[in-house]
Amino acid sequence: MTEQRWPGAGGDDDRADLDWLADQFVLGSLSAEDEQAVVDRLADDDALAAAVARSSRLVAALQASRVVAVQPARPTVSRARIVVAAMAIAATLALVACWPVLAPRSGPPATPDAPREVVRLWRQADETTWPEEDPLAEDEPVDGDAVPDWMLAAVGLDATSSLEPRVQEN
Amino acid sequence: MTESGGEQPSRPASEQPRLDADAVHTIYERWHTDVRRFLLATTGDADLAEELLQAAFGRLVETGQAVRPQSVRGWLFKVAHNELRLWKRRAAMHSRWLGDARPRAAAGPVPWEEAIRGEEQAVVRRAVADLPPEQRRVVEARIDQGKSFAVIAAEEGLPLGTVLTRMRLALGKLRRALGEDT
Repeated sequence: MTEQRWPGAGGDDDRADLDWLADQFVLGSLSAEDEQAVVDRLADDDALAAAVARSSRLVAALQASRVVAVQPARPTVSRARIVVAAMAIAATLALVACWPVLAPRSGPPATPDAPREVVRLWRQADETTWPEEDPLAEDEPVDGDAVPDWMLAAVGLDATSSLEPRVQEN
Repeated sequence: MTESGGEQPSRPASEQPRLDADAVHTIYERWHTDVRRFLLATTGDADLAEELLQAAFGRLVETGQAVRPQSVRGWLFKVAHNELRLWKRRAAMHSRWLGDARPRAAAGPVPWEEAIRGEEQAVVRRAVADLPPEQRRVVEARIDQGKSFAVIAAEEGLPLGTVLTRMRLALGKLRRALGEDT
């Protein structure tokens, strides 16, 4: 406290000075040097401690009152947000409801070249999937006995019958 | 008193028996509201104030045995202030290295009611409304917007001393409204 007179706890003026010093301390507006001087005296100066307690009560009440005073502005903003959100939801619902009418027909565009394109893509995929030479082709000759039952059943043949086509007897 | 350094105990606090639970409880009941208000007023953050309050009373448990009973409140203010300084230093380091990644309390109503009675808030609100406009502007700029007095002075085009005088007059009126001036 180089320039500031250190207030005592004598008369009203001293108390007012002490309160103002405590106010500045609590508000954090003292210089670092003055703040340290207050801190150094706090434990030994009960009048100063009492002033800090009074100032804390005042400043905290002031902050609290301002928080409450500022809060009423919030509902207007929230209401506006609610309206915007409701409009967005309504627009989305309307779009969903009208989608069958507004949406383009499903499937690829019906252009004359579409089937050719599909075939070309299928061939391309077929070439990449299958090897050019099947290594099993020569090792495993096609055998009628190797045909699975489910395949014979699918074409209406008895598993025990020959693969030769039946001759219808008249 | 090891923490405050304001007096020389006959033995170091570490060699003295710690305060018993009843003594700590008594001190807590007597002074925790003042210390919480102090921390609320200096931080403006109810959660942080509660955290620092617990830290301050933790110090009381550790080293409070050397504190004179008539000095306890001032000692607690001092310890709470030191805890706040430590927190600010850590927060500054954290911010420097990790950016603004510190988890913050969720935005919402601050539980001021726990520390400040509703009628006190109403009294102060009315008193603020009754302040002369030039004083009210300073109060709002400092309390609502957290501006320093130097910034307020620059914005208002006034000498710093004038702004400080307006704040002092305003706080004096608010103090009288709260009945603290008697």
